[in-house]
Amino acid sequence: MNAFTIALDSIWSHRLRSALTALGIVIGVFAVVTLTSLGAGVSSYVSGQFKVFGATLVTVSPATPGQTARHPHPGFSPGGNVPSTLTLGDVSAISALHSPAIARVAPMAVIPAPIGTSLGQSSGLSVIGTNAAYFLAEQMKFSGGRFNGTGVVLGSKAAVALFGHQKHLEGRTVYLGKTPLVVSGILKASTGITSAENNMVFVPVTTGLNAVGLKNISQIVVQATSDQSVNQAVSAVTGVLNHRHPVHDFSVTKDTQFLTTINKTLSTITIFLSGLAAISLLVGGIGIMNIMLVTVTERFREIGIRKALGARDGDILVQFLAESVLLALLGGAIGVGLSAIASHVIGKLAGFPAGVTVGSIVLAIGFSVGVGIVFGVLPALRASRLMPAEALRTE
Amino acid sequence: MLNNVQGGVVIDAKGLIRQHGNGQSAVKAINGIDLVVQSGEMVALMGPSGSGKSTLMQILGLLDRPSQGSYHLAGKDVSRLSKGESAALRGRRIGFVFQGIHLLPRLTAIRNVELPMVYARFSSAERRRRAEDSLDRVGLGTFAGRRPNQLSGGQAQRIAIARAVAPGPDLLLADEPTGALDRASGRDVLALFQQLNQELGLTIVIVTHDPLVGRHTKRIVELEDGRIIGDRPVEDRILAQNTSEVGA
Repeated sequence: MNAFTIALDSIWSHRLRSALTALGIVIGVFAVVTLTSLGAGVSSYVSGQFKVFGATLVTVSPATPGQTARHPHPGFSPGGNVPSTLTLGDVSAISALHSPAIARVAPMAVIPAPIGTSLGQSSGLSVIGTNAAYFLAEQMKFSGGRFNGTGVVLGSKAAVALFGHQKHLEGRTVYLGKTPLVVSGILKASTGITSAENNMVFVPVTTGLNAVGLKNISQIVVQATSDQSVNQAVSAVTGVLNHRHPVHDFSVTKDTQFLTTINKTLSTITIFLSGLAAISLLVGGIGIMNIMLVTVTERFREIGIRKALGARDGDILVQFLAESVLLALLGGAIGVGLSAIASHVIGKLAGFPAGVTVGSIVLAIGFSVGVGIVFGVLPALRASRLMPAEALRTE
Repeated sequence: MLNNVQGGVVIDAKGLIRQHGNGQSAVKAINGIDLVVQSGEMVALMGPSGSGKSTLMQILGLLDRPSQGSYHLAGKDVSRLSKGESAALRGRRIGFVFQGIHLLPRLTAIRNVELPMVYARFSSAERRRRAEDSLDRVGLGTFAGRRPNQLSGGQAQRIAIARAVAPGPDLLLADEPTGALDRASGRDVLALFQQLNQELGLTIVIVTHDPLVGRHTKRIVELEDGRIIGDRPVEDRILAQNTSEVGA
């Protein structure tokens, strides 16, 4: 016979109304919890991907002179908007340092030329000019053959696009523009953030550049010898390039910086979306307040009887507050349940692990109780302050 | 079993005034009431509607406070109590029976009877024992598990009486207790009041406009325009006969 059993009974006796009222909270909590879980899922997935690489990669990209240090999105536009002045000479200069901090140096050039077979061109494939060090630095796995310095390596989807589901492609001929090249290796299918490789065709960098008459490459990938020597590698590379590029038209970024940038962006987006979702929680709370005000008016007589029988203001306050909190909690619990299902399904479909975390459950319960109290206090106060004589007069 | 004050004054009111509104528009629902009721009395407060009898009952029942005057209940000055204090006192010292069926529809009969004792913080064992005793006393011990919609009007009113007397109050206040009942049920309720008054010495005040109800009591106090205009013992008292099995 305590406040919560009374509240449960009251909620149960108006099942449809209670369900519709709680629906606002269900949707609000569902939206908030799902978005935060997905955000956390994507973020941990991205971090996981970077751990596969180790944090030893350093990328040299072209940059607008003068903005080197403060490039807003380091490395997000390889060979993009900024015209590159990086050359194979830069690659050689870095290699020639023989720095103990640097394990590998690889050029990376996007070759703007069509690729195809004798039967015709294939669309949707990118051609990358590089050297053997690139495959080691990026930890690419071959399903067959290798990069031999003269032949072509196909990404798994590129192989299908060019030759269908044929096997034993080594030795077959592809055409880069009009230049015939021999296939020397096929990559294993890659998943995750490196899955773009699947659609790539890798050619020796000089062959690629010559085919389109270019001199500049898009990026230089440098692999440090260990996690600890990354900073040393960065300063070695920067030092050499400062000599060769006095106008400072390049930027040197560590892969860990990508991670930081991505995570910052992700958490900003997550917070923003959760904020939007929280608005629906607010609307749900107003719904609860509305229904509780109706309930109080409907139950004037009950309140009068209870007061005549000795109920104190506090007893009535707790009774109605319990009802609104319970209603909100019920909605919150259903919202978390639905959210657990939704994030699981979305995570499965999108290919990253997303589950409802303990943190988000605590968040949801806290939100629900908060909403129940905040929006329940006004109706409950109104009920408790009712004069018993007045309340009994209402027939 | 039911712990009533034996002997002494239960109600001692002097110069009670209850005013609604202020200044020009002020209306005095009661205007200078002096009333003393001894323990064990059974009194009818009678008068036409608007005479102030309901307002007086609400003040006597601590549901409302007088604008002026003093009120002692069982020797304690209660005219200036806080809301919380009067609520606590109301639960233990005063039993109410109303005109309509004022049971909570979602609770069983015994839960309804226990309700005032929940607010008066009785232990659950004590609550249950008193509620069962009280239901037996009104002859509805076997109806404990029923909900109000499974009871006749007369039965529901007897449950309400059981609820009013269960905590062992000093005073039972009834506002038109037979108003919503048929004649036979009304007679049963009045018989029950007489029985409670007789057997337990319970002090009972009944507000009514029905002279026939008044004749079941021992004393009639008449009100008009917020004042007492008559106060006399009942000469031709009717002793109601139970038509149903009532009493233990």
